Amino acid sequence: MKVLRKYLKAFELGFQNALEYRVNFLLSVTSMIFPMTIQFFLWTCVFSNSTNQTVYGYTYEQMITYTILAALVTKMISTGFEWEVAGDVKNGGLNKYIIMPIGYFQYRISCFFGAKIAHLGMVGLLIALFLGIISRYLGLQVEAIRVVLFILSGILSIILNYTLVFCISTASFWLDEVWGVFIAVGLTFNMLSGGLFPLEVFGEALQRVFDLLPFKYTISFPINIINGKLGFDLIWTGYLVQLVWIGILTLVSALLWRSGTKKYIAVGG
Amino acid sequence: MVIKVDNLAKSFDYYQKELGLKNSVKNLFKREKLVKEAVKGISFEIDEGEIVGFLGPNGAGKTTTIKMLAGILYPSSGNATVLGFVPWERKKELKMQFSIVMGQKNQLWWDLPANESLYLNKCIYEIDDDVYADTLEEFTEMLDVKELMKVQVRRLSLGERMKMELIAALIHNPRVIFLDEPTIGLDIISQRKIRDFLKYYNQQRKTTILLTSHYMNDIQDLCKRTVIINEGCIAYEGELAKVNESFSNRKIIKLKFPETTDSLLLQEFGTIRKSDGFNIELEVEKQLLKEYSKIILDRFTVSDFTIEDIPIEDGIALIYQKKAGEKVESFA
Repeated sequence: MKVLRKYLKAFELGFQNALEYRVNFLLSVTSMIFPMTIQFFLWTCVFSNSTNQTVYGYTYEQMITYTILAALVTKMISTGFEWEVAGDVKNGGLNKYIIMPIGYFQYRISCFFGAKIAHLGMVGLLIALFLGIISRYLGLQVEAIRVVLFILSGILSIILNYTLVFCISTASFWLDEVWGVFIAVGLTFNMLSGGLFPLEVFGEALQRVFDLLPFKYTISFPINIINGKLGFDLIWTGYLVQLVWIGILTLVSALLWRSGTKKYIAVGG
Repeated sequence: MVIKVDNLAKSFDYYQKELGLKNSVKNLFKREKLVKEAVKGISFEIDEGEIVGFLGPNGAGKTTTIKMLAGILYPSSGNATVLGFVPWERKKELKMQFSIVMGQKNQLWWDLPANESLYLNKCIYEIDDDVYADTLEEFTEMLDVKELMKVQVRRLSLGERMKMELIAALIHNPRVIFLDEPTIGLDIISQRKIRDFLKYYNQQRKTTILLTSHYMNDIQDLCKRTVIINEGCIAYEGELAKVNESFSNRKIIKLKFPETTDSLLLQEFGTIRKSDGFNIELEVEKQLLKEYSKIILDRFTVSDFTIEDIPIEDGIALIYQKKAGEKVESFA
């Protein structure tokens, strides 16, 4: 019980800290309008020049729905703690966690989820608003059960993305400057996750590879639940894959973290 | 024996780059690896309840040693135990019982009030509610920061923040504390307040403290014993008062004159330490002190006259200037 309270308090502080920076988050959400607008015009152009009704198996309405939802889900699962980890490693802030009776991974995930809850309120509202709009004007019906399944997959997506990014953040132990790595890896992951456009764009063969990788289970998977593209049997398999990857990546991050701190305390940060 | 350090050593790898762009490019392909021996096999022991001053010039290896004792660094060789534990094994039992304060690092959440961070520490160190409330009451009272608890840390002054850091580090009532320049950059009042607090805390709880500071007041006020390291080796270990033993047969005469006086006229009595015409400081041998004082007072018109010991800084500076390995004999 006492152990749990450490992390509950860290969770609470993460939440409070996020509220301190609410305007910052609000602005970052607002700024999403621009890439969304670009996507909108891009796909409108593609469809108006196409002779087919569908492109990559998507109708115009489905495509617009996908890309806008992709931007929102990207925001929903987004992290930021990797910069804090890098800072801790580079400036010796890690010292205070090494000497305290607390696990760094658990501590960070608690803070992260605290902050996430604060942000989810806003992103959740936007997603709900958007779904309301499309079901009214684009005639896309969203079943209630799919909303529940979407929320469940969303939670798993956030955890999965956390473990993925935590692994990447351990690069700070071996590289003096991780700025470039984080940006490059972040963009690549986002694209491979289907955060920019549907993964169908990559073609059949690559999609089979993506099925086995963790990336698509962070963005593409929850979207395909809500937009009705996935059958229920595939949804259950998807959850399973999410859980398996969370398990694997937690293990990998623990190993990376251990060898990282070993190096850190050998050379002194 | 609470802290036992036995032949502890630590070396780091580093690289050098010659001046200029050409050498930057050259360094891309071939870098010469150099080894810096930060700590070269030091040994000392500290008893329960002692406050020991850990001194040395910048880069002598003080922080490296403290980091090893806190388990933040692995040593290259040698042994150490703190409360019977090997610190770099990082056992929870030890973590619950010691603390470290680094004057140049902070552990408080920057954007939240200090009481939030303190409460987090309460949870981390599994402190009971009533113990926590009592300790917090006592500390905030003593350090005079009670009404600042609800202010965001980033809005506090350096001195106020340092007091909060200290509270955060001591809230779990540690048995051993490592203080690495806790008063750096603080004004005199804040320094004194923190010193008084540490003194009181040590007396009340019999806490063992290893303190580094460049402010002699901190050391003289708090520490009876001192360990001085220089270039990674122990240069002196023993009572602080005896650091100046080599100067013990000398005294300082401070003279104030109503009008400008040539210091050359006083050269026959001893070494001139300082002179600006009106104020002259003279270093004189102890057994000649009485005789010389008389002559000086007879011969000159003096408006003020004092006799003092050589300041402790001089003794320490002398040790700092010695080469590594030249240990000054402990006079204990």
